[in-house]
Amino acid sequence: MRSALALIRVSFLTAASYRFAMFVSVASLALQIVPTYFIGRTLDPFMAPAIKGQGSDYFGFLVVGTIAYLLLAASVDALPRALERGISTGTLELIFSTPSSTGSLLVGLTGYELLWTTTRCLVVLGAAAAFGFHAHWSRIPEAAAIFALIVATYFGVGMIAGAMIIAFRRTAALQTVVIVGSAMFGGVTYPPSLVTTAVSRYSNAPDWIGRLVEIVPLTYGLRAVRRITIDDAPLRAVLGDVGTLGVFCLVLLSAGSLAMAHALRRARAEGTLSQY
Amino acid sequence: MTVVSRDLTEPSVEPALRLRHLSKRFRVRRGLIASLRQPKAASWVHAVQDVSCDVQPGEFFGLLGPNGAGKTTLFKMLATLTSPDEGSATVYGADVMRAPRDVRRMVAPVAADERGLHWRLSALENLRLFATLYDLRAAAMAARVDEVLGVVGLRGAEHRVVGTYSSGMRQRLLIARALLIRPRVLLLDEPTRSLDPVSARDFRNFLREQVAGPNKCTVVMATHSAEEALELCDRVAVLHRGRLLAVGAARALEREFSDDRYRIRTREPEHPGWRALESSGRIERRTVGEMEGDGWTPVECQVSGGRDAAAQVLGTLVASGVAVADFERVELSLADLIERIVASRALATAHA
Repeated sequence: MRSALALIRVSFLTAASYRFAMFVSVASLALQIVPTYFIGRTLDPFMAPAIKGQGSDYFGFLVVGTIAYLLLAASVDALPRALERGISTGTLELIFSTPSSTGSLLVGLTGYELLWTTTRCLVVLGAAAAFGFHAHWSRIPEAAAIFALIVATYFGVGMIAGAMIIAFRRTAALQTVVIVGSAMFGGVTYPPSLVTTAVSRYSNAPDWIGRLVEIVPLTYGLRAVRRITIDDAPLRAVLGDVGTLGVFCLVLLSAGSLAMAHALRRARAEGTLSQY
Repeated sequence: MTVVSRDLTEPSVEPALRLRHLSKRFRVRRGLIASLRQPKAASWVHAVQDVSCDVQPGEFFGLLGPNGAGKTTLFKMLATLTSPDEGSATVYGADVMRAPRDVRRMVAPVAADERGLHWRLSALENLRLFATLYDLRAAAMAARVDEVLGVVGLRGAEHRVVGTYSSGMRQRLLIARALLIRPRVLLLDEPTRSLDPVSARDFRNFLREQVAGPNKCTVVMATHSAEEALELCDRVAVLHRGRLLAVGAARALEREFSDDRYRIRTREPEHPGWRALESSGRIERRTVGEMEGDGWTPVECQVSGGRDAAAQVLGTLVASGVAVADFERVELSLADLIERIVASRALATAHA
């Protein structure tokens, strides 16, 4: 745990040495709320029927979607990027030659990025509140727990991408596919049901494309968070979605851990842990 | 000329490092077309082959050999960053494969380049990070960090960002980082490669006085520098294409493989005294160089029989009226030494 905290601290100090980039990152997010607010309000009458059951306010729908998107992108991308950076700067080899456990090193390498993204999410939430975003604030702890489950689920994908970086130095665009795919089919800016409807009504595409939404973990997580925070639905009403997300989490974290262990073993056997 | 026998003795004390039949090979990457033509064909490069030797506690041990000899691969296996294919390596009894975390608590690797440092952070922050990763207790950390900063002469510059350091300072910081854990074995991979000659000399003094001596630390150093091999190392090992060709004291190896060649500066390179020495067999293979600007000419010859014979040759020359300015033994360069050991080993293999 101390190792993880030390690595998080170093990442923070390094990021803080780029003060301007840090400021722009926060400011741009806060400003992003302005167009989101106007788009939300403008499309609200049209989207209201589609988002029924996930909050009747389209602006609120977009705010929750934006927060989920930020967290999922960081969860998928943080580890492979940290490993890539560590390989190119030579720090990875050295931290792996210390007695710290692999788990604590991986958490330490990604912890700052996840904490920073959480801070950025709070900025979005604060800015949205200033623009009239109404949430049931007392349900935030439950929503936070579901967001944590989303992060853990997508961290599993990040571990697979990290393993690919260690093994092949490339991820074959895995992160992009997962992030963009989840955003398109997981309900970030429109409800997943819209995808299914659109596919069946307006195209000759096979039905299974519409069913892609069912294999995107974000679909279940986002639906649960929106129902809790916007509709004030009881926890038992979202247990099905949370349970499905939990299964995804278990499967992806296990797959990620296995992939990472295999990649490290292979890199040690091939002597490529630090080759860049 | 014989190759110095490999050191496979079994001393009563636990050696710092014990390598037995250690081997590592890497698959050679092939191009796309070659892979498509022969998908199942594979070629391998043997980075380390059947290396066996012991390094004793507190010993300063040098690894010599040309590029690609296997020195860095050997280091990486000892630092648990690369796993051996065959054989075993132990550090004070801990096996690099079976107990890697125990090994990492004892071994500190230092690479030649300055990669591995966080350039936008201060030296202090860099050291604190690694102190934590090496599980140093928080209470002892500050004192230890301050101590190693003092040892490497960076006290006073610890708050400066590493990116503003000179190469020499960064090299010292890498050593400081390695010393944090009071390593029992320090692995130095060409530590003076990026240093100027004066800094390299200071660095060698520092290693001798601050690292090896007082800390009783076993140091294994890969080097291409003759000064380092001859001045610092108690023993050296010569690696070539992954094989260990010879182990021994650097001076002993030099004596073994040098051919007692002397250089004499004289005004009379064709004096009859030279021919008299040659005909009596006291000097051999005489070569006369070009006369230098001051009128003195270098003459090189081989004198068999050690220093006593050399003294007699000098006496005879002077007695016969040859003007002699210098009379010095020609030192064997590290490159020559390695080359001769490799050639000798190849000859021995051919005879076998």
